[in-house]
Amino acid sequence: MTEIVEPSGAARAGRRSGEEPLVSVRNLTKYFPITRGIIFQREIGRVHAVEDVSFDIFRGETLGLVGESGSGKSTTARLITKLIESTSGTVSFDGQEITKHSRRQMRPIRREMQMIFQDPYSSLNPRQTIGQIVGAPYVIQKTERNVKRRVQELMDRVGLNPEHYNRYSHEFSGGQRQRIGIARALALNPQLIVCDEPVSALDVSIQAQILNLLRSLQDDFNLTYLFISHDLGVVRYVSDRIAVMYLGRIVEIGSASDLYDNPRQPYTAALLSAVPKGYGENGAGARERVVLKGDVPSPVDPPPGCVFHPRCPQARLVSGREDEVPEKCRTEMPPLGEVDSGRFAACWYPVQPGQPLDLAAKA
Amino acid sequence: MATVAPETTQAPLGLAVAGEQVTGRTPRQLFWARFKKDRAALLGLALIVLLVLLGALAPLISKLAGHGPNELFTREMTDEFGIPLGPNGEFIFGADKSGRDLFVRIMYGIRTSLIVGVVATLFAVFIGVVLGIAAGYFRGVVDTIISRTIDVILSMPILLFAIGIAAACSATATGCLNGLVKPGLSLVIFIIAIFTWPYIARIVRGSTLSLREKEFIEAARSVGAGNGRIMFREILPNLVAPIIVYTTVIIPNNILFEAALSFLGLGVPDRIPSLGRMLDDASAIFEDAWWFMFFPGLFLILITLAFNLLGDGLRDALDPRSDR
Repeated sequence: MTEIVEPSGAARAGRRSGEEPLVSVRNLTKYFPITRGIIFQREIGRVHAVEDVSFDIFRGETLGLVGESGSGKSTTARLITKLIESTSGTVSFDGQEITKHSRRQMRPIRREMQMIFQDPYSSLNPRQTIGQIVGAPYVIQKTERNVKRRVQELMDRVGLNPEHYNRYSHEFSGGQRQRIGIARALALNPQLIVCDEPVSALDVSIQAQILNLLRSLQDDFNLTYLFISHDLGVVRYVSDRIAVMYLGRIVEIGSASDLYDNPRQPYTAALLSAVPKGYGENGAGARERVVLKGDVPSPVDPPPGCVFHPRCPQARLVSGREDEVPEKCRTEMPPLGEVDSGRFAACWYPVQPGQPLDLAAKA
Repeated sequence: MATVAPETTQAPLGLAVAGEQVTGRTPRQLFWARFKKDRAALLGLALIVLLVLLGALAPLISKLAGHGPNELFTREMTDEFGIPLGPNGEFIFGADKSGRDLFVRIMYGIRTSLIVGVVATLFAVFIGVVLGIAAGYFRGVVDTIISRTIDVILSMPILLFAIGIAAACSATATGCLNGLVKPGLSLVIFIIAIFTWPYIARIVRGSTLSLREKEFIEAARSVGAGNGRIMFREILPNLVAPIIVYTTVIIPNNILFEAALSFLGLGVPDRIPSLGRMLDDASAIFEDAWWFMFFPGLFLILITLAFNLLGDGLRDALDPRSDR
């Protein structure tokens, strides 16, 4: 691992100083062991799912977390909500470190942070009615007497018919199921809701409805969102700030519009250049496509130095050769450094605004 | 307030007639709709109801017939060579070799079979469900211990061990395990439960392994649910269908198990009528007293058949996707 960099600067990226974050993640790392053997298990490797991740989430904001499949987005979400235990690093919620909390200590904190899940089918128990599903938080946390009335209020608020209280989840469509999941997450009136790809399993027409619902709920209940998605358009629509993950690390973080207009980390640039442009968007400022070569390396054996260097077009531009990258990229992981005010990117040679990323184009 | 229009409600499986109010059906209603169409299963259910009535009303039937189950009619119903006499107006199924009324004894035998089969199966299901969910949910060491125990029990020659345990526990009146298991009905139930819970546990463990990875388990955990609640409130209701199906499949097996033990003379004591024991007794004098083997055998087949028909029907109705 690289030396521990005091990350608070990068974590705050794009926010005023002096503000207290709701969630503070520092050097969070999660390895999943790969074992062999039935009775006597021995570790033969480890998946580096999340590696040295640090960021803050401020009250009332939406922090978007983007990255391709397997980049560690969902693992990060589950580490924050303590559904899995971290290997190292800390998560603080509302000023309180919760990384070492026991199940019992977590119980009151769970009221404050909830999760909306990706799959509206497997996230609802098929043997329970809507009333039971949405009412479960009250029953478990024992915070409400008139559960039925509260549940029906919630159902009404998220756009479900309260009369469907006794129905089972299979009687609903995907979008309605996701509304049920949202009602469940809202039940305990939490401060933070972690949305783990809440719309990626839905029809495009339904996605907009759900996103609008999430937005209006944010205003009404003063919610803070950690919004995970691999859909860059969706993330831009909902996020105030965005963090980009690649191979378990945050490679760039900054305010949403900034980051989209002007990516500084080569991976971010390549990722954003892959977003299909809508009609009439090909005018000034349109980016040329950056096509990355090869595949994402295995998280079991991440490359040394900068995790992105085997595929990085910028490193090749700097060295001027297709088969060579600068020594620094090969040997040392760049820290998340401030490249602009409020913009942090993990890169030794950040992309300059307007700079082409194609070696052939330059030559 | 949200400006999103609610989506229209879809009917799950029912056929929606245009303009008609579509009401959703619960899983239970869907199950009934499918089960009602299965004639074989309904026949099985009817047979079970009949047999349960016969067994439950055995004392009444005995009173009506005027013969107790252990009352000897040696003079009336055996000939000079000690061979029992066949069916007649008063003894409609004939007599056994001690001259007891076979009809009354068979009614009591049905009762024994059902009690042993159902009670032993319930014990087995209880143990199997608890251990199976624990193994699948906790995995790791818990799973290793439970799964290896299952393997060991399933690899035993069951009948041989059952005979050994039965013999050992029947040696004294106090039984074994500090008098917990006394010779007689409870011993048979104990032996059967011990050897059949692994079948249930295996199925429950497998289903639990896949269910625990579902997101609704994470959802429950993220609102602060403990392990107990997750295992028995979230996972168990999803296992009800396979458990019910497997229970109805295991009951006839256990009834036959009891019959086999009794046939070998290791089941219930002689004063408690047992279909298996009757078959054993009948085998020696089969050529002279066909009824002695025919009627107990007939009812044993009926009981087994009824449960198997019901079990098949339940499986089809509860889990329509499963293959036969």
